Amino acid sequence: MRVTEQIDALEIMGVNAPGYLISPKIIAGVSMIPLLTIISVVLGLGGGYLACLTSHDIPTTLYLDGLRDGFNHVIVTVCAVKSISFGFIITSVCAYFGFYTSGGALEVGQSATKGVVYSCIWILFADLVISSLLL
Amino acid sequence: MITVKDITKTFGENDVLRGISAELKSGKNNLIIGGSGSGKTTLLKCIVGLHEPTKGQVFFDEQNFTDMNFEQRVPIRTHIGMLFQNSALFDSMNVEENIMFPLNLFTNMTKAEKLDRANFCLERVNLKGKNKLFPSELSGGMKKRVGIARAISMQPKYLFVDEPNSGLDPKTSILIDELISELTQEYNTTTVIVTHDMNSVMGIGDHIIFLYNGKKWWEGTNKEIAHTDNKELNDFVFASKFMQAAKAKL
Ligand SMILES: Nc1ncnc2c1ncn2[C@@H]1O[C@H](COP(=O)(O)OP(=O)(O)OP(=O)(O)O)[C@@H](O)[C@H]1O
Ligand SMILES: [Mg+2]
Repeated sequence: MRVTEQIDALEIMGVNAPGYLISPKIIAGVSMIPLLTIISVVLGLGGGYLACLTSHDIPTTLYLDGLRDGFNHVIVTVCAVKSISFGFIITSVCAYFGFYTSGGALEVGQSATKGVVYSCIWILFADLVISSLLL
Repeated sequence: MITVKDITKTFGENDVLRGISAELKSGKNNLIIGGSGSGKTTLLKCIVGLHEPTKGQVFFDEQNFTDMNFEQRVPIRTHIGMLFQNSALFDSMNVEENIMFPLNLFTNMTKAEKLDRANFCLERVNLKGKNKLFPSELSGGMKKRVGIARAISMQPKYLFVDEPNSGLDPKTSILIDELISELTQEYNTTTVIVTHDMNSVMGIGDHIIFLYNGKKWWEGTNKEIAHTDNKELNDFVFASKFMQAAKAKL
Protein backbone atom coordinates (compact mmCIF):
# COMPACT_ATOMS: atom_id res chain seq x y z
CA MET A 1 0.00 0.00 0.00
CA ARG A 2 2.91 2.33 0.76
CA VAL A 3 4.52 1.65 -2.60
CA THR A 4 1.35 2.40 -4.56
CA GLU A 5 0.77 5.65 -2.59
CA GLN A 6 -2.42 4.28 -0.99
CA ILE A 7 -1.12 5.18 2.47
CA ASP A 8 -0.39 8.71 1.24
CA ALA A 9 -3.96 8.84 -0.07
CA LEU A 10 -5.26 7.90 3.38
CA GLU A 11 -3.09 10.50 5.07
CA ILE A 12 -4.14 13.23 2.70
CA MET A 13 -7.75 12.55 3.69
CA GLY A 14 -6.80 13.12 7.32
CA VAL A 15 -6.99 9.44 8.28
CA ASN A 16 -4.54 8.29 10.94
CA ALA A 17 -3.07 5.64 8.66
CA PRO A 18 -1.17 3.52 11.23
CA GLY A 19 -4.24 3.30 13.46
CA TYR A 20 -6.56 2.65 10.54
CA LEU A 21 -4.41 -0.05 8.96
CA ILE A 22 -2.50 -1.68 11.80
CA SER A 23 -4.94 -1.80 14.72
CA PRO A 24 -7.51 -4.10 13.02
CA LYS A 25 -4.70 -6.55 12.23
CA ILE A 26 -3.47 -6.57 15.82
CA ILE A 27 -7.01 -6.99 17.19
CA ALA A 28 -7.55 -9.84 14.74
CA GLY A 29 -4.26 -11.52 15.70
CA VAL A 30 -4.76 -11.15 19.44
CA SER A 31 -8.29 -12.54 19.31
CA MET A 32 -8.04 -15.16 16.57
CA ILE A 33 -4.72 -16.86 17.39
CA PRO A 34 -6.01 -17.85 20.89
CA LEU A 35 -9.20 -19.09 19.23
CA LEU A 36 -7.16 -21.17 16.79
CA THR A 37 -5.15 -22.49 19.74
CA ILE A 38 -8.34 -23.56 21.53
CA ILE A 39 -9.57 -25.29 18.38
CA SER A 40 -6.25 -27.09 17.93
CA VAL A 41 -6.23 -28.23 21.58
CA VAL A 42 -9.81 -29.54 21.29
CA LEU A 43 -9.01 -31.31 18.01
CA GLY A 44 -5.85 -32.83 19.49
CA LEU A 45 -7.61 -34.21 22.56
CA GLY A 46 -10.63 -35.30 20.50
CA GLY A 47 -8.31 -37.02 18.01
CA GLY A 48 -6.67 -38.96 20.86
CA TYR A 49 -10.08 -40.08 22.10
CA LEU A 50 -11.08 -41.18 18.59
CA ALA A 51 -7.83 -43.12 18.16
CA CYS A 52 -8.49 -44.96 21.43
CA LEU A 53 -12.04 -45.66 20.35
CA THR A 54 -11.11 -47.12 16.97
CA SER A 55 -7.86 -48.93 17.78
CA HIS A 56 -9.01 -50.53 21.09
CA ASP A 57 -5.37 -50.49 22.29
CA ILE A 58 -6.21 -48.21 25.20
CA PRO A 59 -9.70 -48.15 26.74
CA THR A 60 -11.32 -44.72 26.43
CA THR A 61 -11.99 -44.56 30.19
CA LEU A 62 -8.25 -44.92 30.80
CA TYR A 63 -7.56 -42.17 28.28
CA LEU A 64 -10.00 -39.79 30.01
CA ASP A 65 -8.61 -40.65 33.44
CA GLY A 66 -5.13 -40.00 32.13
CA LEU A 67 -6.24 -36.58 30.87
CA ARG A 68 -7.72 -35.67 34.25
CA ASP A 69 -4.78 -36.93 36.30
CA GLY A 70 -2.18 -35.22 34.18
CA PHE A 71 -4.05 -31.91 34.10
CA ASN A 72 -2.15 -28.94 35.40
CA HIS A 73 -3.96 -25.59 35.29
CA VAL A 74 -0.68 -23.70 34.73
CA ILE A 75 -0.51 -25.23 31.26
CA VAL A 76 -3.78 -23.54 30.33
CA THR A 77 -2.45 -20.19 31.56
CA VAL A 78 0.78 -20.62 29.61
CA CYS A 79 -1.19 -21.63 26.54
CA ALA A 80 -3.38 -18.53 26.79
CA VAL A 81 -0.52 -16.11 27.48
CA LYS A 82 1.61 -17.53 24.68
CA SER A 83 -1.12 -17.54 22.08
CA ILE A 84 -2.06 -13.93 22.84
CA SER A 85 1.57 -12.76 22.82
CA PHE A 86 2.41 -14.66 19.65
CA GLY A 87 -0.69 -13.26 17.95
CA PHE A 88 0.45 -9.77 18.88
CA ILE A 89 4.02 -10.36 17.72
CA ILE A 90 3.07 -11.88 14.36
CA THR A 91 0.67 -9.09 13.43
CA SER A 92 2.57 -6.10 14.81
CA VAL A 93 6.00 -7.07 13.47
CA CYS A 94 4.66 -7.89 10.00
CA ALA A 95 2.45 -4.78 9.89
CA TYR A 96 5.43 -2.63 10.92
CA PHE A 97 7.58 -3.90 8.06
CA GLY A 98 4.70 -3.60 5.62
CA PHE A 99 3.84 -0.07 6.68
CA TYR A 100 7.35 1.28 6.29
CA THR A 101 8.22 -0.43 3.01
CA SER A 102 9.36 2.01 0.36
CA GLY A 103 10.50 1.52 -3.18
CA GLY A 104 8.96 -1.10 -5.44
CA ALA A 105 8.15 -4.77 -5.90
CA LEU A 106 11.65 -5.84 -4.78
CA GLU A 107 11.37 -4.03 -1.45
CA VAL A 108 7.87 -5.49 -0.88
CA GLY A 109 9.36 -9.00 -1.16
CA GLN A 110 12.25 -8.07 1.14
CA SER A 111 9.84 -6.65 3.71
CA ALA A 112 7.72 -9.81 3.63
CA THR A 113 10.85 -11.92 4.30
CA LYS A 114 11.96 -9.57 7.08
CA GLY A 115 8.48 -9.71 8.62
CA VAL A 116 8.58 -13.53 8.78
CA VAL A 117 12.18 -13.73 10.03
CA TYR A 118 11.79 -11.07 12.71
CA SER A 119 8.48 -12.44 13.98
CA CYS A 120 10.05 -15.93 14.24
CA ILE A 121 12.95 -14.52 16.26
CA TRP A 122 10.63 -12.52 18.52
CA ILE A 123 8.41 -15.58 19.04
CA LEU A 124 11.42 -17.71 20.10
CA PHE A 125 12.49 -14.98 22.49
CA ALA A 126 8.96 -14.51 23.91
CA ASP A 127 8.62 -18.28 24.24
CA LEU A 128 11.75 -18.38 26.37
CA VAL A 129 10.68 -15.45 28.56
CA ILE A 130 7.10 -16.67 29.11
CA SER A 131 8.16 -20.26 29.81
CA SER A 132 10.82 -19.23 32.30
CA LEU A 133 8.44 -16.85 34.06
CA LEU A 134 5.39 -19.11 34.27
CA LEU A 135 6.69 -22.67 34.37
CA MET B 1 -5.37 30.77 -1.76
CA ILE B 2 -2.20 28.85 -0.95
CA THR B 3 1.03 30.65 -0.25
CA VAL B 4 4.32 28.82 -0.52
CA LYS B 5 7.27 30.53 1.17
CA ASP B 6 10.84 29.60 0.39
CA ILE B 7 10.29 25.83 0.25
CA THR B 8 13.46 23.77 0.27
CA LYS B 9 13.51 19.98 0.15
CA THR B 10 16.58 17.82 0.36
CA PHE B 11 16.69 14.01 0.12
CA GLY B 12 20.08 13.02 1.52
CA GLU B 13 22.56 14.82 -0.74
CA ASN B 14 19.97 15.58 -3.37
CA ASP B 15 18.70 19.19 -3.26
CA VAL B 16 15.42 18.72 -5.10
CA LEU B 17 13.77 22.06 -4.29
CA ARG B 18 15.86 25.12 -3.56
CA GLY B 19 13.82 27.96 -2.15
CA ILE B 20 10.52 28.08 -4.02
CA SER B 21 8.00 30.80 -3.25
CA ALA B 22 4.66 31.22 -5.00
CA GLU B 23 1.08 32.30 -4.58
CA LEU B 24 -1.51 29.85 -5.81
CA LYS B 25 -4.75 31.75 -6.24
CA SER B 26 -8.26 30.39 -5.85
CA GLY B 27 -10.49 30.10 -8.89
CA LYS B 28 -7.43 29.69 -11.09
CA ASN B 29 -5.71 26.69 -12.65
CA ASN B 30 -2.20 26.83 -11.21
CA LEU B 31 0.08 24.65 -13.32
CA ILE B 32 3.45 23.33 -12.23
CA ILE B 33 5.54 22.28 -15.20
CA GLY B 34 9.11 21.10 -15.58
CA GLY B 35 11.20 18.21 -16.85
CA SER B 36 11.00 14.71 -15.46
CA GLY B 37 12.70 14.60 -12.06
CA SER B 38 12.60 18.38 -11.66
CA GLY B 39 10.69 18.06 -8.38
CA LYS B 40 7.08 18.76 -9.39
CA THR B 41 5.62 15.86 -7.42
CA THR B 42 7.95 16.67 -4.51
CA LEU B 43 6.69 20.26 -4.44
CA LEU B 44 3.09 19.08 -4.53
CA LYS B 45 3.74 16.63 -1.66
CA CYS B 46 5.49 19.36 0.35
CA ILE B 47 2.45 21.61 -0.09
CA VAL B 48 -0.04 18.98 1.11
CA GLY B 49 2.25 17.81 3.93
CA LEU B 50 3.11 14.33 2.67
CA HIS B 51 6.75 15.45 2.69
CA GLU B 52 7.92 17.77 5.44
CA PRO B 53 9.87 20.56 3.74
CA THR B 54 13.50 20.88 4.89
CA LYS B 55 12.94 24.63 5.11
CA GLY B 56 10.11 27.04 4.35
CA GLN B 57 6.39 27.22 5.02
CA VAL B 58 3.05 26.63 3.38
CA PHE B 59 -0.03 28.68 4.19
CA PHE B 60 -3.58 27.59 3.39
CA ASP B 61 -5.63 30.82 3.43
CA GLU B 62 -3.25 32.49 5.92
CA GLN B 63 -3.08 29.40 8.20
CA ASN B 64 0.44 28.11 8.66
CA PHE B 65 0.03 24.47 7.59
CA THR B 66 3.69 23.50 8.02
CA ASP B 67 3.79 24.24 11.76
CA MET B 68 0.57 22.33 12.51
CA ASN B 69 0.55 18.82 13.99
CA PHE B 70 -1.47 15.93 12.54
CA GLU B 71 -4.70 16.71 14.44
CA GLN B 72 -4.59 20.42 13.62
CA ARG B 73 -4.19 19.57 9.93
CA VAL B 74 -7.26 17.33 9.76
CA PRO B 75 -9.84 20.17 9.34
CA ILE B 76 -7.85 21.56 6.40
CA ARG B 77 -7.34 18.10 4.95
CA THR B 78 -11.08 17.52 4.74
CA HIS B 79 -11.04 20.34 2.16
CA ILE B 80 -8.22 18.82 0.13
CA GLY B 81 -8.78 16.56 -2.85
CA MET B 82 -5.80 14.94 -4.47
CA LEU B 83 -5.12 12.83 -7.52
CA PHE B 84 -1.83 10.95 -7.27
CA GLN B 85 0.51 10.32 -10.19
CA ASN B 86 -0.28 6.58 -9.97
CA SER B 87 -3.95 7.15 -9.02
CA ALA B 88 -3.49 5.42 -5.61
CA LEU B 89 -6.94 3.80 -5.62
CA PHE B 90 -7.59 1.46 -2.69
CA ASP B 91 -7.32 -1.89 -4.39
CA SER B 92 -9.49 -3.75 -1.88
CA MET B 93 -12.46 -1.51 -2.76
CA ASN B 94 -14.46 -1.18 -5.94
CA VAL B 95 -14.84 2.08 -7.85
CA GLU B 96 -17.95 3.16 -5.99
CA GLU B 97 -16.48 2.39 -2.55
CA ASN B 98 -13.32 4.29 -3.44
CA ILE B 99 -15.32 7.40 -4.29
CA MET B 100 -17.53 7.05 -1.22
CA PHE B 101 -14.58 6.54 1.12
CA PRO B 102 -14.05 10.24 1.99
CA LEU B 103 -17.83 10.72 2.23
CA ASN B 104 -18.03 7.88 4.76
CA LEU B 105 -15.31 9.51 6.82
CA PHE B 106 -16.37 13.11 6.89
CA THR B 107 -20.07 13.47 6.12
CA ASN B 108 -23.36 12.39 7.69
CA MET B 109 -24.91 11.64 4.31
CA THR B 110 -27.22 8.66 4.03
CA LYS B 111 -26.16 5.68 1.94
CA ALA B 112 -28.45 6.78 -0.90
CA GLU B 113 -27.06 10.32 -0.90
CA LYS B 114 -23.50 9.03 -0.98
CA LEU B 115 -24.38 6.74 -3.88
CA ASP B 116 -25.94 9.65 -5.74
CA ARG B 117 -22.82 11.72 -5.21
CA ALA B 118 -20.59 8.84 -6.38
CA ASN B 119 -22.70 8.37 -9.50
CA PHE B 120 -22.61 12.10 -10.19
CA CYS B 121 -18.80 12.18 -9.91
CA LEU B 122 -18.48 9.09 -12.11
CA GLU B 123 -20.69 10.67 -14.74
CA ARG B 124 -18.53 13.78 -14.78
CA VAL B 125 -15.43 11.72 -15.58
CA ASN B 126 -17.29 9.71 -18.23
CA LEU B 127 -17.35 6.45 -16.30
CA LYS B 128 -21.05 6.00 -15.74
CA GLY B 129 -22.02 2.46 -14.73
CA LYS B 130 -18.49 1.30 -13.83
CA ASN B 131 -19.40 1.33 -10.11
CA LYS B 132 -18.69 -2.29 -9.32
CA LEU B 133 -15.34 -2.73 -11.05
CA PHE B 134 -12.19 -3.13 -8.95
CA PRO B 135 -9.03 -1.10 -9.66
CA SER B 136 -7.32 -4.22 -11.05
CA GLU B 137 -10.04 -4.37 -13.70
CA LEU B 138 -9.48 -0.80 -14.91
CA SER B 139 -7.12 0.60 -17.54
CA GLY B 140 -4.54 3.21 -16.52
CA GLY B 141 -6.62 6.07 -17.90
CA MET B 142 -9.77 4.79 -16.18
CA LYS B 143 -7.88 4.63 -12.87
CA LYS B 144 -6.86 8.26 -13.34
CA ARG B 145 -10.47 9.23 -13.91
CA VAL B 146 -11.69 7.31 -10.86
CA GLY B 147 -8.90 9.06 -8.93
CA ILE B 148 -10.26 12.41 -10.10
CA ALA B 149 -13.80 11.37 -9.18
CA ARG B 150 -12.60 10.47 -5.67
CA ALA B 151 -10.68 13.75 -5.38
CA ILE B 152 -13.74 15.84 -6.26
CA SER B 153 -16.29 13.81 -4.28
CA MET B 154 -16.07 16.12 -1.26
CA GLN B 155 -16.18 19.30 -3.38
CA PRO B 156 -12.72 20.26 -2.16
CA LYS B 157 -11.59 23.85 -1.65
CA TYR B 158 -8.09 22.83 -2.66
CA LEU B 159 -7.60 20.41 -5.51
CA PHE B 160 -4.21 18.88 -6.29
CA VAL B 161 -3.75 16.80 -9.39
CA ASP B 162 -0.53 15.08 -10.39
CA GLU B 163 -0.44 14.50 -14.13
CA PRO B 164 -4.15 14.09 -14.80
CA ASN B 165 -3.60 13.49 -18.51
CA SER B 166 -0.85 10.91 -18.55
CA GLY B 167 -2.22 7.71 -20.03
CA LEU B 168 -5.31 9.34 -21.49
CA ASP B 169 -6.22 9.68 -25.14
CA PRO B 170 -6.26 13.27 -26.48
CA LYS B 171 -10.05 13.54 -26.40
CA THR B 172 -10.49 12.28 -22.82
CA SER B 173 -7.49 14.35 -21.86
CA ILE B 174 -9.17 17.55 -23.02
CA LEU B 175 -12.37 16.45 -21.31
CA ILE B 176 -10.53 16.05 -18.02
CA ASP B 177 -8.83 19.44 -18.43
CA GLU B 178 -12.19 21.04 -19.07
CA LEU B 179 -13.72 19.27 -16.09
CA ILE B 180 -10.96 20.45 -13.75
CA SER B 181 -11.16 23.96 -15.14
CA GLU B 182 -14.96 24.01 -14.79
CA LEU B 183 -14.83 22.81 -11.18
CA THR B 184 -12.17 25.38 -10.39
CA GLN B 185 -14.37 28.21 -11.59
CA GLU B 186 -17.66 26.80 -10.34
CA TYR B 187 -16.52 26.29 -6.74
CA ASN B 188 -13.70 28.85 -6.69
CA THR B 189 -11.26 26.02 -5.98
CA THR B 190 -7.54 26.54 -5.56
CA THR B 191 -6.37 24.05 -8.13
CA VAL B 192 -2.76 22.94 -8.51
CA ILE B 193 -1.99 20.80 -11.54
CA VAL B 194 1.32 19.10 -12.21
CA THR B 195 1.62 18.36 -15.89
CA HIS B 196 3.83 17.62 -18.89
CA ASP B 197 1.01 18.03 -21.31
CA MET B 198 1.41 21.05 -23.59
CA ASN B 199 -2.27 20.96 -24.58
CA SER B 200 -3.13 21.54 -20.91
CA VAL B 201 -0.52 24.26 -20.57
CA MET B 202 -1.93 26.14 -23.55
CA GLY B 203 -5.56 25.28 -22.85
CA ILE B 204 -6.05 25.92 -19.15
CA GLY B 205 -2.81 27.49 -17.88
CA ASP B 206 -4.09 30.53 -15.98
CA HIS B 207 -0.96 30.60 -13.88
CA ILE B 208 2.09 28.56 -14.79
CA ILE B 209 5.17 27.88 -12.71
CA PHE B 210 8.16 26.38 -14.48
CA LEU B 211 10.58 24.46 -12.27
CA TYR B 212 14.18 24.13 -13.34
CA ASN B 213 17.23 23.22 -11.30
CA GLY B 214 15.15 23.13 -8.12
CA LYS B 215 14.09 26.75 -8.56
CA LYS B 216 11.09 28.64 -9.85
CA TRP B 217 12.61 29.53 -13.20
CA TRP B 218 9.67 31.27 -14.81
CA GLU B 219 6.13 32.26 -13.88
CA GLY B 220 3.33 33.57 -16.07
CA THR B 221 0.21 32.71 -18.05
CA ASN B 222 -0.40 30.61 -21.15
CA LYS B 223 -0.61 33.83 -23.20
CA GLU B 224 2.82 34.89 -22.05
CA ILE B 225 4.49 31.52 -22.48
CA ALA B 226 4.44 31.71 -26.28
CA HIS B 227 6.36 34.98 -26.30
CA THR B 228 8.87 34.34 -23.57
CA ASP B 229 12.58 34.62 -24.27
CA ASN B 230 13.51 32.37 -21.35
CA LYS B 231 15.80 29.83 -23.01
CA GLU B 232 15.22 26.87 -20.68
CA LEU B 233 11.46 27.32 -20.83
CA ASN B 234 11.51 27.57 -24.61
CA ASP B 235 13.62 24.43 -24.83
CA PHE B 236 11.12 22.65 -22.60
CA VAL B 237 7.84 23.84 -24.12
CA PHE B 238 8.85 23.98 -27.74
CA ALA B 239 10.97 20.85 -27.77
CA SER B 240 9.13 19.22 -30.69
CA LYS B 241 9.21 20.36 -34.31
CA PHE B 242 5.44 20.52 -34.25
CA MET B 243 5.41 22.95 -31.33
CA GLN B 244 8.13 25.06 -32.97
CA ALA B 245 6.02 25.32 -36.11
CA ALA B 246 2.98 26.22 -34.01
CA LYS B 247 4.99 28.91 -32.24
CA ALA B 248 6.15 30.38 -35.52
CA LYS B 249 2.52 30.86 -36.56
CA LEU B 250 1.61 32.62 -33.28
N1 LIG C 1 10.99 9.78 -1.35
C1 LIG C 1 12.09 10.15 -2.00
N2 LIG C 1 13.31 9.83 -1.53
C2 LIG C 1 14.44 10.22 -2.17
N3 LIG C 1 14.46 10.94 -3.31
C3 LIG C 1 13.29 11.29 -3.84
C4 LIG C 1 12.03 10.91 -3.22
N4 LIG C 1 11.02 11.40 -3.97
C5 LIG C 1 11.60 12.03 -5.00
N5 LIG C 1 12.95 11.98 -4.94
C6 LIG C 1 13.90 12.57 -5.88
O1 LIG C 1 13.48 13.89 -6.13
C7 LIG C 1 13.65 14.24 -7.49
C8 LIG C 1 12.36 14.81 -8.03
O2 LIG C 1 11.35 13.80 -8.03
P1 LIG C 1 9.85 14.09 -8.40
O3 LIG C 1 9.09 12.84 -8.24
O4 LIG C 1 9.40 15.27 -7.63
O5 LIG C 1 9.98 14.48 -9.93
P2 LIG C 1 8.85 14.94 -10.94
O6 LIG C 1 9.19 16.32 -11.38
O7 LIG C 1 7.50 14.70 -10.36
O8 LIG C 1 9.11 13.94 -12.15
P3 LIG C 1 8.05 13.20 -13.13
O9 LIG C 1 7.61 14.20 -14.11
O10 LIG C 1 8.89 12.14 -13.77
O11 LIG C 1 6.94 12.65 -12.28
C9 LIG C 1 14.14 12.99 -8.20
O12 LIG C 1 15.52 13.15 -8.42
C10 LIG C 1 13.88 11.87 -7.22
O13 LIG C 1 14.91 10.92 -7.31
MG1 LIG D 1 5.94 13.40 -10.70
